Amino acid sequence: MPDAAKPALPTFDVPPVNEVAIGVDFAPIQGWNVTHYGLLYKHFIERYPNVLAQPPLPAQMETFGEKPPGFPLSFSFSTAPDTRCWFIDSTDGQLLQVQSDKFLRNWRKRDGSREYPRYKVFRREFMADWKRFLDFVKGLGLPPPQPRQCEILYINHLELGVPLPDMFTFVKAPPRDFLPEPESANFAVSYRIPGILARLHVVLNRAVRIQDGAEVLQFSLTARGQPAGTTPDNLMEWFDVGHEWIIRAFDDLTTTQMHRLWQKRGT
Amino acid sequence: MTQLARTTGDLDRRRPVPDLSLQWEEVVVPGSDPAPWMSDALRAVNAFEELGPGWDGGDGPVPSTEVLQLARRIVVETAQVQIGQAPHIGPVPGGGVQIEWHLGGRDLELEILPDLSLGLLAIDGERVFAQEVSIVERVPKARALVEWLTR
Repeated sequence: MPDAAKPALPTFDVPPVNEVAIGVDFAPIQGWNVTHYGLLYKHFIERYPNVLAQPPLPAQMETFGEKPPGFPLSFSFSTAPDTRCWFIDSTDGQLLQVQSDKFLRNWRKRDGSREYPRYKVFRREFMADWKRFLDFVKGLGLPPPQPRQCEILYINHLELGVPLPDMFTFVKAPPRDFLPEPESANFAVSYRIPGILARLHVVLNRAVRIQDGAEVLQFSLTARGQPAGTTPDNLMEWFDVGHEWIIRAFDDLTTTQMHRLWQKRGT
Repeated sequence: MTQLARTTGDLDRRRPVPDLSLQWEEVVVPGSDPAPWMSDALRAVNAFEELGPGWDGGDGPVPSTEVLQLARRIVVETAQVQIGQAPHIGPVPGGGVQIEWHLGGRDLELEILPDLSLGLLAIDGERVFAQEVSIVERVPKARALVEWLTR
């Protein structure tokens, strides 16, 4: 039921989003070994016909206690196979990342590929793949993965050239009698998300896109934290809050001038 | 050549830390103060995408997407070194890209080969050092050699 006190979530018809990722982290599946990647490839081959091996991602767990968080805790220890597998669709725009303790789905913008499929579609597709993965693990006779952390990430690429104060509400125009416009900026800030165990991380930095050599400002927003339980419904509830925070933060941190460019709708 | 040999010896003992992120799109985040020539150098590499068959007056292949991507990585990494002089960058017959500096009596030529290995030639007066660099060491070794140029 919609919350009448809350303004509707804004949407952008032409968002600057370049990549979106959504995923879960779980305790390493007992009994998982390298041969299972080959079987999983067969399981997903119609949807994701291309496969690549990658080094595994370390665990990056948010901690929630009385002490301030500092940097997210990052560690890696496991006797499971030291591999992450990429399963890529034929458009080179959709990716599944699987390792013994992670299941992630990415979308990225590609020339000629469809536009960002929007959160509800993306979440639905993620949940369908996640359920297929659960069925696969069950079919192997292995214990089901128990999600312990959820993550959702939006990466926006903004062209250089627009003065930073015209793009971001957190960059104040400098005093005109001394400092010029900033040439570049690196910015990182995090927020606790109330009501759930989660944190929102916002990072802005200059980046070079290797695919086409474009120099861009990369503005990424990541929500990461613990779901209330391990069921698909628990995950969806968590993702919905994380997504809402990302969209509202993006809206808060960027200027109305840019909102017009990105064709914002809603309040 | 002694100094160069010591530099590359140090590198042989290093293991670059892989950039591990759940991000799929490959990006490189330059440091806060990249060399002022970085943008021009990237544009030079990007322009090679427009090369067509016969670009070299013969039937040489054009640099592949992968070669250009590696060239961009090397440009960004070497632009982190405080070296004012911009490199000369050009395609080479066979489908490679060469990035070279000539500074204070020293010459450094980095050739990205079509198989994505990196050939290097460093000349310091009479001393010449040539090597083909393994894939894992390409980018950090390119940076270390540009640092050597500035010493």
